[in-house]
Amino acid sequence: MKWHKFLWIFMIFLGLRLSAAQQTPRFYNVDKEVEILGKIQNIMMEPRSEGRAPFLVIELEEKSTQKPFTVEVSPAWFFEYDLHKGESLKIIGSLVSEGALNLVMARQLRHRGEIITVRDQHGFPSWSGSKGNQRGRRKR
Amino acid sequence: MKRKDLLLFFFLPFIGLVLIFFTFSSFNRAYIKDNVETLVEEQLRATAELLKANLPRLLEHGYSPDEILRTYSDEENIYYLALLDADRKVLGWSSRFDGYLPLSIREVERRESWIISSPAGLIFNLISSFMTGQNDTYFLYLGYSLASMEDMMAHSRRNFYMMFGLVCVVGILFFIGLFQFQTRFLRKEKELGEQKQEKERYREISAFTSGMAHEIKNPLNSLALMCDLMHKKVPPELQKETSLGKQEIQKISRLVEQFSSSLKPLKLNRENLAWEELSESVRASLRNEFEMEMERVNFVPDEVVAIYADKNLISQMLYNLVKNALEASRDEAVVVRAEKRKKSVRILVQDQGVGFSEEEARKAFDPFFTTKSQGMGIGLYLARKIIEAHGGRLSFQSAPDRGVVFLIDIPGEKYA
Repeated sequence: MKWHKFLWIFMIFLGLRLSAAQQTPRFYNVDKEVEILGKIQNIMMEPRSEGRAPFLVIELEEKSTQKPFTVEVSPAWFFEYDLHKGESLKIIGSLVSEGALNLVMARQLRHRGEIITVRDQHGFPSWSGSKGNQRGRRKR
Repeated sequence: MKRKDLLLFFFLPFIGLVLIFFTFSSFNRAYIKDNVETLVEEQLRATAELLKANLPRLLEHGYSPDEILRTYSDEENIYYLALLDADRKVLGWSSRFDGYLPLSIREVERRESWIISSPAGLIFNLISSFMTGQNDTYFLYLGYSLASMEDMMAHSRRNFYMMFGLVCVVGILFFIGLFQFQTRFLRKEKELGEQKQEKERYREISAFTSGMAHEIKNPLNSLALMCDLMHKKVPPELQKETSLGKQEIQKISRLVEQFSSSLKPLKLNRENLAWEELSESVRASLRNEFEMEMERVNFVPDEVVAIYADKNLISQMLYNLVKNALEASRDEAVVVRAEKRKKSVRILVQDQGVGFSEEEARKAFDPFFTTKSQGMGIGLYLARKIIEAHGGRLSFQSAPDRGVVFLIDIPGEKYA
């Protein structure tokens, strides 16, 4: 009897919480990691979800296939690195949606010989949750 | 105990103790870590079971997986969770970190929990299945934080290093102290050994020279008597020579006497001696030799000071020092005063001479060292011997052209 009572209270609480919940779009799928060498077509700042800082998004055209990709890099405030249209860029990331959009969540960018890491090998975002992360950290 | 033996006796057991402490602590921390991991895993499973008890009903009520899972995203220890269908396809997920769901196809078949390392710390992962009322199979993927365990382990590690450091510091301080103590002990032992050897040598020399002095004095006495006889019998024009010969023999006799007495061990006849009495005794001796210069000698009166010493020896010693001071000061005054200390008395003999040169200062107390044309150079040597026989200390302070101050520290009067 007590168990059911607890369950109902929990359900009511859950219902209240559900109404406040927000949509999380995509996760970094480690099984769908790809490597793309392309040319920067466009650089944008786009809000990924309501109330969150705008994201740096790059439109990239793969050099070998001329296939367009949209690359989500990191929150704009985290990325302190200059990229320009027309430049060559290599991306390692997770292909989270295919088709017309070809959306890639970036893990590592290679640009002009520099390596810029924005997520770890499991997809952990460098901009959150750790003392060790530094802004726009890069490795050579 | 020799240095090497000490090392073996104390240092090696200490190193052993430190190693035991280190090993024990390491095992202990590993044991705690294993147990805490087990505990956290049980907690993870219990959380998963609780969720699995609720999820079927929520799914049956038509809530979407994303809506359901996001409600748990604020749970303190749940970093991420996902709901998978029977084909292990992600239906919904929630994560505390932006887009972070480290689920690989390689891991979806796992039955046991596993740990992954992330910049936010270690994370326990578990996939477990459950069924709804319509017999639909789902999988729940849960990532559980081990931050509290890591904090505890970090705390334990910190305590361990602190204790280890403390043990090492205490041990090092102990050994520094021990080595210093031992070094001092060895040095003292060496000094005592040297002193013993010196005394032995001194005793032998003393015995030898006393014998020699005795053997020399006897013929000298005979020679002196012969000179007396000759003096009476020779013509008057030769009496001057015989008289001179007798004087020279007496001079040799005195030198031998002084030399002999300087090597004899001193026998003290101590008594309480007031400063006034002592200074009067010395003044009386000085008057015989330095009658014309007595006004230069200033014995500062003090009715309080008294010492416990052999009157004859102390007087002789003080006489020698004042005599030297008078000779060094030429026309300047010599001050002799006494100060009462706690249990001792300090007597100061201050001259106004040119002071000691570096070499003179170094050799001042050496026997047979003298800068005078007359004298054997045993005055200061004897003075120090007398003071040391009283358990006191004789030292001096010298500055160029500002004279020398002799400091005599000697036990004060003895109360019955």
